Amino acid sequence: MNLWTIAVFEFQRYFKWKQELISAGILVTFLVLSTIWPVLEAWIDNDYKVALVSQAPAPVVSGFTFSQIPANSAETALSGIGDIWDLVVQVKDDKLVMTVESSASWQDKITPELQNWLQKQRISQLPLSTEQKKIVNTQPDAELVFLKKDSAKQNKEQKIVSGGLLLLMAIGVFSGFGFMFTAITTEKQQRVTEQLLTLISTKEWIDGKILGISLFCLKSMITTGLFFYIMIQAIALAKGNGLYVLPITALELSSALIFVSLGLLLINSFMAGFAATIDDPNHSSRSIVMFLPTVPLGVVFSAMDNAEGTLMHVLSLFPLTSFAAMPMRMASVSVPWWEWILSLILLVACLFWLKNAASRVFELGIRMYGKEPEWSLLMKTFLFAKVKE
Amino acid sequence: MLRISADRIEKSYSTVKAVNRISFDVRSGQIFALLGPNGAGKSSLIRMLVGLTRPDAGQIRIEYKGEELSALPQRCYGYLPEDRGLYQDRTVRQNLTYIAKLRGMAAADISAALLQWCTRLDLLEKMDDNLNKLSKGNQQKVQLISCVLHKPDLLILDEPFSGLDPVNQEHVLSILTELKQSGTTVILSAHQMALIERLADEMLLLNKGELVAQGSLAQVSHQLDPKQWFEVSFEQQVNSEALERLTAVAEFKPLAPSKIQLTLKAGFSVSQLLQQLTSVAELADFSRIQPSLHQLYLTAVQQHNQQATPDTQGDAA
Repeated sequence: MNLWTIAVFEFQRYFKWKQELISAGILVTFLVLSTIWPVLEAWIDNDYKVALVSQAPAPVVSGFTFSQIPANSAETALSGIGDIWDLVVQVKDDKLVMTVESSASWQDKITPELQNWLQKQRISQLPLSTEQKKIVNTQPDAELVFLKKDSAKQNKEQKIVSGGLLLLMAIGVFSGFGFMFTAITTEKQQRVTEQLLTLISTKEWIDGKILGISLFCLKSMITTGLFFYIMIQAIALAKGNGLYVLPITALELSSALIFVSLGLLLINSFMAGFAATIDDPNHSSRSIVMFLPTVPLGVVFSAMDNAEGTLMHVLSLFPLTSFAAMPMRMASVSVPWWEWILSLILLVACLFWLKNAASRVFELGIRMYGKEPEWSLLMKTFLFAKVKE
Repeated sequence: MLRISADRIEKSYSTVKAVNRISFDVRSGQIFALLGPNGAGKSSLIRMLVGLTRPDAGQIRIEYKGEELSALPQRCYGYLPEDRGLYQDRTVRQNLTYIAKLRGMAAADISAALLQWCTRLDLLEKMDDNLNKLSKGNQQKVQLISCVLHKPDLLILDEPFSGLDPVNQEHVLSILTELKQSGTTVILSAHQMALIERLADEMLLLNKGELVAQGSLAQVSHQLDPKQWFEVSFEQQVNSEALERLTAVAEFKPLAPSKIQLTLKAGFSVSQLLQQLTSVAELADFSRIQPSLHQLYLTAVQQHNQQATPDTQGDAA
């Protein structure tokens, strides 16, 4: 009963409708700006004016307006650099000569485009047949042939889904970090601990806190995910493409939700335990430990390009990384059912152990005011000591 | 129904002995006060009583509803910590509802009790204000409500009058008196001696973790200053030599030509003293002087510090 009371209280401490609406408003503004930015950029920035001293057709490059100039007007064009022209392009001795007033970042964009343009001019002047010129100018086709049909899932869209899932997990993990860190250290500083520990046991308190804050993290992930989903659909509809179907099944999504929820409980258990040992968040050397739970996300991120690789296999079974790795793997390839079950069992067992270890650390630290437990005592308590009920 | 016995309890924090072999007995329906200057060990004692820390030595025995217990049952008491322990970023209602729920109160009871107590302590209009928007005194009142909302049998209050203006101090005093009349046992620590004098049935005076005096106000007064002081006014001026010859007078000090303060010598009764005084001159007024608890407290702490200083120096040497 108390567990749920504490969990609801902790959830409501951070769930504020006004803040939620402001966050949604900021996200909408951000997405709208991202969508209209190219138009806005084109509207704000004028095209660079390029004088092309050549008879050949000018290339088409966005952000640049080309004007063809006869060779005898080249000198006039060069004297107009800075006033009329931003760039004057000449071809001398089969070489591209680009004259500008001074160095600028846009020159890096136009240079390869002009090199490509000149290369095409050179190829077109070679004594080749039309067919030969076509072959030279066209990239060869490539086709991937999958012997196992199911394994053909890994494509660009699925990588985007995997990346999206990882991003949502990062949101969850960082929310947990922020809330646990500030909540517990503030409670210690304001001596809320004194009052509450006469009402409830440390175990009840940490359990309720982990559950409440994990639910809030999950809420943050789900609302952010839903928000992006709605925006993607809105953009797809606006483009007249119809509804966009995510390349992930309901089963995969449910499985991801299970792993992510357990992962959040795991991470928040760790954070709750160690946050309780921090006396002053501004000066404590313990604060760095609170960043440890981001390591699994970093490791999975580095391995996610090869979803069928050995490393990803190991990470999806190892309980400290499986909560992030298994959903990534499942979004990209088919995972044998026994691996899924094994990974889940290992994760639940690890959660059970870590929660007890964190309870011990929480109990050790929560009543310490003005000082922090020694590292050796901290590690001994985390790894070996029995929970005092 | 409730009895708390502490037997020679000790508590140290690194090299500091916060509580040194303290024993006391609190009985049902009593108001028991812990007195002493800052660092006397009051809060350490209270934190041991509520189970936040454990004594290094000695025992705290609890008898509640006929059962011997090792710790106070969490829902039988209300605790007001010295540092106010509520959520500053939550409203009065949210704070109190949360604590009441943790104490196992039903939702309907919580609403009724909240309304009753917030009305009584003039907080009704501030129920939906965040705690950090309230004055220190109002925060203190909220804290007090959090302790009494569930009608506990025992209240343990660490500095309940701190931060309250005189009007609200009187208010809290009347509430505590009322709770006592309804059978609630109260253990409190305070610095406001005038209030404690009026409130406490028994008290424990501590200094630097050690017992200085213990008992009812009369007992504590006697322990701290066994001399009986009287103020005497004569109809005419009296000379000192006549007073010095009186065997029932231990010492005296003149306040005016016809007014003195004196102490009764051990072994003599008040009637014997009166008899001797009337032989000197005709009496206009005769009254016993009861030194205030405040005065006794200051004298006792001063004396205790003076006694402790040579020992400390000896220890250090």
